[in-house]
Amino acid sequence: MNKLFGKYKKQEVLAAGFFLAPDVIGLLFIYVIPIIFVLYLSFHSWTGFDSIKFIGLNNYLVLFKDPLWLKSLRVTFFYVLLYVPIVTLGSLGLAVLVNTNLPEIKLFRTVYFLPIVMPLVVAAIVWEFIYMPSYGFLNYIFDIFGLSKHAFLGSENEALISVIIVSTWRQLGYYMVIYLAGLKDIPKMYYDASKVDGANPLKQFIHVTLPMLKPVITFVVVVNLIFALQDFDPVYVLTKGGPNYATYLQTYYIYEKGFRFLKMGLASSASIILLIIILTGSLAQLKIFRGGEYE
Amino acid sequence: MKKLSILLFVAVFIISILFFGVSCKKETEDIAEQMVEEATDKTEEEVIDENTEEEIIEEVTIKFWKYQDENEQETLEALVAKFNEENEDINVVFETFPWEQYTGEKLITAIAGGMGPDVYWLSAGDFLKFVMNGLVLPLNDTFTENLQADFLEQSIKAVTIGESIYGVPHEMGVQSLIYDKKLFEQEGLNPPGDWDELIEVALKLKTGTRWGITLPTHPDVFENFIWYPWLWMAGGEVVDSSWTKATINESGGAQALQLWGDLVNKYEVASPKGGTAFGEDIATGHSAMAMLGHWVVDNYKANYPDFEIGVAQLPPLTKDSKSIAAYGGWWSVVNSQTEHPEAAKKFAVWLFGQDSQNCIDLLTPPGTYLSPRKSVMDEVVNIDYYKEWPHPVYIEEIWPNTRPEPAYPAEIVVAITEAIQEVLFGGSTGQEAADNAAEKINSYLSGPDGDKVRGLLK
Amino acid sequence: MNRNTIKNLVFRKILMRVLLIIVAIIMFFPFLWMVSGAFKPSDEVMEYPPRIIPSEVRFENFTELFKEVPFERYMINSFIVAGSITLSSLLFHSMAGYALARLRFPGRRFLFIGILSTMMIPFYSIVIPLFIIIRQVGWYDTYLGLIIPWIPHAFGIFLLRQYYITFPKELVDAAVIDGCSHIGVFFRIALPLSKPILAALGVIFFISNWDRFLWPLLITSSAEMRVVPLGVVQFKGQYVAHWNLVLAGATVACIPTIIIFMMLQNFIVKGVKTTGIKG
Repeated sequence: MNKLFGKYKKQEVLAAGFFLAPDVIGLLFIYVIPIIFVLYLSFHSWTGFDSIKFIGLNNYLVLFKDPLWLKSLRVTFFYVLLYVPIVTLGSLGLAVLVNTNLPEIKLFRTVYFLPIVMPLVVAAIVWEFIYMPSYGFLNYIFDIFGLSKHAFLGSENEALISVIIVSTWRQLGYYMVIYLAGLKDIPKMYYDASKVDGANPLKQFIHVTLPMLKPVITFVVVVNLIFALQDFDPVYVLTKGGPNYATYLQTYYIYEKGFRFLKMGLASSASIILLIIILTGSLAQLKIFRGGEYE
Repeated sequence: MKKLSILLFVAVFIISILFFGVSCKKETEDIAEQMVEEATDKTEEEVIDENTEEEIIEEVTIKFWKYQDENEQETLEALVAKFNEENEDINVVFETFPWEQYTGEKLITAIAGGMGPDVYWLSAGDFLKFVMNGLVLPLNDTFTENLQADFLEQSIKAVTIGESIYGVPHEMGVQSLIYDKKLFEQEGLNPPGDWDELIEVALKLKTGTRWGITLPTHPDVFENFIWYPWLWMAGGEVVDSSWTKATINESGGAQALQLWGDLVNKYEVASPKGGTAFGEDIATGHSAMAMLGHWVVDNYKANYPDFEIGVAQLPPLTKDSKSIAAYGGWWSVVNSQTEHPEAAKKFAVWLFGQDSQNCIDLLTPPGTYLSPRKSVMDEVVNIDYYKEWPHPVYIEEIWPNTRPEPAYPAEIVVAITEAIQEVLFGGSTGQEAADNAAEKINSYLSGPDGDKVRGLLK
Repeated sequence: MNRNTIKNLVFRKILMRVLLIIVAIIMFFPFLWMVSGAFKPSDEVMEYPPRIIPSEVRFENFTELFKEVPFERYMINSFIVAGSITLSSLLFHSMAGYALARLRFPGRRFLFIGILSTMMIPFYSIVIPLFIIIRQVGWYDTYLGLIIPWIPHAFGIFLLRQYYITFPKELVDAAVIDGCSHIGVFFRIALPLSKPILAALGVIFFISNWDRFLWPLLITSSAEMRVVPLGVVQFKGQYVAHWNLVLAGATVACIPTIIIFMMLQNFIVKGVKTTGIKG
């Protein structure tokens, strides 16, 4: 056996290299090199057009003192705190609901999955009409029930949750499918056993379904956490970070500092901090990603 | 099952062909481009003895960018075609991008990435930011004083910084109050004559599904543009004339901010969300008045034939004070990174700086703008189209009391936007918001960038 | 069973249907609104009280859409882009996932964690450097510029790795004993058996790449390279938008993804089941 490969089989290592090359090279050029450049930029001042000047930790110091950045950090925190549980529980609820054998259930599953099929720019336009203050569809419904009208996206207090509802509406069906797959995997005998014990559906859900679904739930939570922290598009198309910065996510801060103020250095340092936040946030959960390694 | 893997292989195969195919094409294009460049450097000398041999005229290609606007599209395409025909050595490629993403994302990324256009349209709100970053080429040698003489003095001043002139202005979008004429007649109301009346009328006309007035609420440069005249009417300015300190929190600023805040929060007559459908509310009966301008008139005629547009000057602070409106507009500028500065300048100036017929083509029949060129306005007033109501209102009543949209650096622009957002949504009083804005502006002006701005404007 | 339980069962079935229908209405409403708007005259889109059924059904909105802009060209572009990304990602990610799950090589764990951490990089914080790279290789305003950046994706690799971990070991071992190389095992046995998961992931990849808006906007400039979402917002001008055309474009934009979903939906649950998200 070749010394170079030690305890590994040469043929296997070469095959792995062949298999991994396209994606790894791709990731290197698309993500790794750019992020190294971003890290480099975070210690420099650059408008995108002038020469790059080293300014040490200055960008980070400016960031920590910027009240807007701190506000944006708060907004991101609330966004994640609301969005992740809503999606996790909502899609679980949907999955339980469609996990029956009614003859027409497939139709319902299709309908629940549909929102993700609608391009986001389109969804934004449609929801803007639904949310329109005074004469939007939702206000029409509110009016019928005698409720007072709301501004939704045009209100500092309601904008964030309104954005979250749109993201949730889009993502629910996708995670429903993941849960559904998990539900279908639970052996029927567990339910039969608990039925013999006289458990009602609620008890069954708590004592059988939830524990069996725990890995899937963890998966959905972690994935959502990672993606929610990077969310940008819904805010970009719906509110542009407003009103009065009520939906100013970290990603939006980065984007505006870069594109509107041409402060690529500052935007880069904010990117690095966000990256660190996401990494630490998900590191704790990394175990589930590593789970089930094949030896 | 085999089928699937075969399918995948075919896909990869196709992709690799695409890959090499396209990249080869690009390479040859590059070489061709280089050859063209080298050739054009020579053409000037060679043109003289052109007759000697059958010479192929080498073209330079320049890119011309603006935002998407279907009303202007055909006219501009025709003008570009005309230029290309007249200039065999230059080929202008005309490309447009979505309105919302044009200046911010598209232009900036493209220029930062070295793929910017040679000639592009830029508006006053972003002008200083671009000039301060050296993204715009002075046009002094092509846009000569001779040509400038036909332009209004204030329009030339707006594109001039120090000794350099950076753009060719071609349109003036004059602001005004737009109102629902039928509704006002039906209720026996006149357009408001001062700020108090504005509130009064808006309150009177507001219903469950109709706002009294629409104002822009998205945090962007357009919001600032619409707000400036209210500041001026209240006697305020953003900064003092020497650009040393903010004056937005002195007289006027707080009052103008308070008015906007009150319209939304206190009287609840203005929609807190005038984003996507801003400007449409009024045409569809969902608002009685709107802070808009000349540029919507033709759009409304074409798209909302049932809507009868009413036009009035913006209501002044009191009956005795003066109404002021701002006018905005776009300018053709040349990218400082262009590889063909001469061709780019030639096109930018040719477009709306020389033959006044080009400007007239742009203004009629669709675009409802006024022209900053005297010769053009002299002709335009004689065109029947501009004699039709409400164009004369703009030309005769509103236009004489206007100021160009001021150009501020990005930091000041945003400080103002933030102040407006604070009064509209953050529950701040006008004074608080104005003070916050002044603080941000002052810290900017006292920093190194402040010196840079003062240096530029000298 | 006594009468009570039967009654109970019937009652529960009815209750469930009611619940299903209510949720379906909420989920489906935006579609309904979009489609009805696509057939309305322009001014009816903003009418109050809102009307679901248009006063007149205007098919002209669609003919106008295709007449005003080359929408079919945008559709073809989107197909080429989303299709190539989907097919190449499926192939590359299953290769990478298989290697990470089944092959032993030095630094495997490190590489896997490295790949996963690229998932934490927000795409829009690397736009500018990425743009510069793409320009340097000459892919600005080409299909490649639209396609290549979206092929490598850690999430897809991760899902396929999880799948191959649960892939029956015996099958692989038997093939190896028969003298099959690792590459042979993958292409002859593993890949063909992964049809359900590939179909499931394919749908997801296709849908999310059909949806791209900002990147295509930045990396292309000629009208011939425009993709569907960019085509849709074209009718949304500065002050006046042709909502009926926007919505007609939107409706057309949804059709391919809906068809693909309908065609492959049987695979989706089956496919996801095999990703081994079970942990």
